[in-house]
Amino acid sequence: MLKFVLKRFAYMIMTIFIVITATFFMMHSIPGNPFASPKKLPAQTLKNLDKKYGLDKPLSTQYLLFMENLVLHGDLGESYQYPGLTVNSIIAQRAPVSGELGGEALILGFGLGIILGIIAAFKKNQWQDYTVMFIAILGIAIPSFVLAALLQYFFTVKFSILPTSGWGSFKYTILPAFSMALGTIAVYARFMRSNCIEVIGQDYIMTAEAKGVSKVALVYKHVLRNAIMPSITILGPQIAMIFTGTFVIEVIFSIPGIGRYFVESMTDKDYPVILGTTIFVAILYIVSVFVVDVLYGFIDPRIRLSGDKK
Amino acid sequence: MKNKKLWTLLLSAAMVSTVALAGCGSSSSSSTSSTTPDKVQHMSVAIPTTDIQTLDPAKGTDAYSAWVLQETMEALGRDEMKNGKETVVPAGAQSWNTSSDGLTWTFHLRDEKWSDGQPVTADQYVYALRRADDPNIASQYQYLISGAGIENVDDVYSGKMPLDKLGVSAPDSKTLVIKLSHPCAYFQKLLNFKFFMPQREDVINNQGAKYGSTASGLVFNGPFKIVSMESGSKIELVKNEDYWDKKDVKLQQVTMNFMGDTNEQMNALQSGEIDTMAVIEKEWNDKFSKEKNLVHSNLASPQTGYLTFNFKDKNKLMSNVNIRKAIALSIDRTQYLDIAGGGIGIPANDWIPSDVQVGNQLYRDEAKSPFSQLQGDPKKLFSEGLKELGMNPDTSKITIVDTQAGTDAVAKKQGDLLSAEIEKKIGCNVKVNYEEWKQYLQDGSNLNFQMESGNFWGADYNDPMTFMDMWETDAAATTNAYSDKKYDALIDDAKHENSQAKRIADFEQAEKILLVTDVPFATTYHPSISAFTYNYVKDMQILPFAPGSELKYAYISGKASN
Repeated sequence: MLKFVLKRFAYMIMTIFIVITATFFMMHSIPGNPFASPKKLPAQTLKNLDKKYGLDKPLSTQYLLFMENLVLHGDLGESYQYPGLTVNSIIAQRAPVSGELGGEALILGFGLGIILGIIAAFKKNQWQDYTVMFIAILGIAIPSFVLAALLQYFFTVKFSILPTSGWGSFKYTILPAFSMALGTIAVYARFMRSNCIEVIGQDYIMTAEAKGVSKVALVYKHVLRNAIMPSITILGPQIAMIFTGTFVIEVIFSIPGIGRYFVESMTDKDYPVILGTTIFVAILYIVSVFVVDVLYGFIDPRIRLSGDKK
Repeated sequence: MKNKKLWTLLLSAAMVSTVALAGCGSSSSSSTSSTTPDKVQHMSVAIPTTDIQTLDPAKGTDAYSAWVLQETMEALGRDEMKNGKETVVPAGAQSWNTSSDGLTWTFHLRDEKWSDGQPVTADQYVYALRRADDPNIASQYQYLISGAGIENVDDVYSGKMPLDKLGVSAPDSKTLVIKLSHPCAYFQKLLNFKFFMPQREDVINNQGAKYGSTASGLVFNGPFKIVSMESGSKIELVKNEDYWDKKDVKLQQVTMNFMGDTNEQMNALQSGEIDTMAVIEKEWNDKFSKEKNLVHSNLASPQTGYLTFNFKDKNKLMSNVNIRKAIALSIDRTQYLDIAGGGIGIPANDWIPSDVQVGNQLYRDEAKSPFSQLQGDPKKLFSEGLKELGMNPDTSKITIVDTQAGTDAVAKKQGDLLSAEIEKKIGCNVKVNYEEWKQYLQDGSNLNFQMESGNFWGADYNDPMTFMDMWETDAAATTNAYSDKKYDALIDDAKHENSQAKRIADFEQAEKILLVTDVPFATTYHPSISAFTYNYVKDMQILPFAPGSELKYAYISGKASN
């Protein structure tokens, strides 16, 4: 087991390093100057800006300086667009907010999704099944920002129950979390439904039923544990990705999350933020996949055994 | 008998006093400014973006940080409505005088305190201006003080001279002296700009590298001070009790909410969560116009949309004046305004917008636009041009490439409209390249285009020069390589001239060269500011030349206590 973990860890580091390097050079190859302005800046201003941010040095030197700062000081640099704001502080302050909102949406989406999926599977081809599948199709088809705009109008203008936007107490999280959750509910409902149906058709379920196991115990002990595997596979990385925020929802509801930094930094050509956020996502994703792999070993003895046998 | 008499007396007394009081009431309600302020003086506004760039006055290029600074700091001057005209009035400076040659400006500062009790002194203004010119800070607005001609401003910025050689000094703590290398007839109009706000060296050194990214630890000398700033969410302001003019500030609290999405802003205005908002979409404009408790303000904004023609065009087409004239004549400006600007604005039959002043007068009152002098049939002119270039005069054989700013739906509509108009009126083909903003700007500076559309030029200050010096040879080298000696001479004269009458004559001739003779660009429309404010907000000023809206004099009166 230890050999397995160490090997995967080494691969992890290598992958992250490749991602950083590739992003750095790709980012600088896209046309566009971060300081291009409609106010046609005089040559001296552009010269001073380039000198200040080290953009007048050759690309390889810039890369080495960046890696040196990152590895030796853990410093991801300062944003061009927001002078005085370091990338480290962007991640440290904004990511938890996105995490909180995303976490709420995910709990809502996963929880409801799994429950609805199980109901649909057990009531296959009856009205409960069709209702759940209808909700699922709505969730997949309706973009989250459309839902967000509708919810915002109904619950803040038409009926002034909730605040339009902002971040503070729990009530600020309700509308955004809901806008994000519907899509998640849809995915997990469909997943659970098809996996449950497959599991229900297995021989050992029939055996358990014949033995007289109660419906609840049946679902919990036998069906759930087996059917939930594929959902865990996608849940792992999804938990990690909630810290990257959802750009559109965060803008619509003015939530101080990290999502918009991912998108806006590209249009602003804010190199340090582009790099910083990409590295952040890469690490989160790669680590989460690693964690899921290890977790698999615990949930499914078959995998553990086959791993050991090797 | 006695009782009845007493009753009658009391009743008539009551009636008389009621009539008297009612009379008083009706006479005071006829003038809005004497309406009684509410007990709760809390205003809520929206900053239409996801975040401000920085609170450092020497850095940052967005209008939003400039707005927050305007409400929390006090520059030498403040932009206000005075007698119905937008004027820069004395603020941090009580008064100023110029030497007879116009080269030395002496500012007599007011007795002011910072929000931490420290006095505002002249050396703080010197420090601020030096920071604005510091090559290590690389301020992107340095061109403003460069254009104003402060002594040694460019040598300091390029590193050739040290900071202390900049032509600003503080002979004593209440006097600031600025020396210019040439007279600047619009210098007064610059005094509300953030470079002319005092800055505290001790505070900035304390903040270190993170200065500007957070509000904690900062001090203020303006009408309001920041109590908390939650990036991406909101900024809370309270009245600054140390402000020199606090008697004129009636609001106790202001919440500035970041709202980056248009629908979000509109919903917030509708639900009353914010008290005022500018509208840019036609549907919302129409909707809010019908609301009885919203007051509509429609003001011309000093901006002009334009198309640029590249004089270094590889296909030589745009180097010909008749071709440029033909394209300029083929634009239907009213339709363009409708499609690109939601109808909120005025078609641009001039380059310098209507609310620009020269000295204290409106420029357009003194100089009519020469626009109507550009005449001709687009197709004929275009053919002429082709013949002059030694090409086949058949316009249908030509394809023009237009680079349009933006890749969203509005950009697409603009591109479609331009193509349709040119194809219809000239007969040639048009191909539109849609580019993301930063790439569009980059290609523009590199002169990597044939014709460019979707750009806007906005005034930096209230004088025609801000619209004219961009077409001088040096400045236009990274715009479209336009160069005309006569034009350069006129602008150079207007730059160094102190007599406004002479400057008006210069600008008049120069605008004719731009719009009629050389046509290096074609105008589209001037956007307007269309803002809606709840009727319980009084005395808020919307100033086209200043960022955001001026909240210093605003107050709440008659808001239902809900």
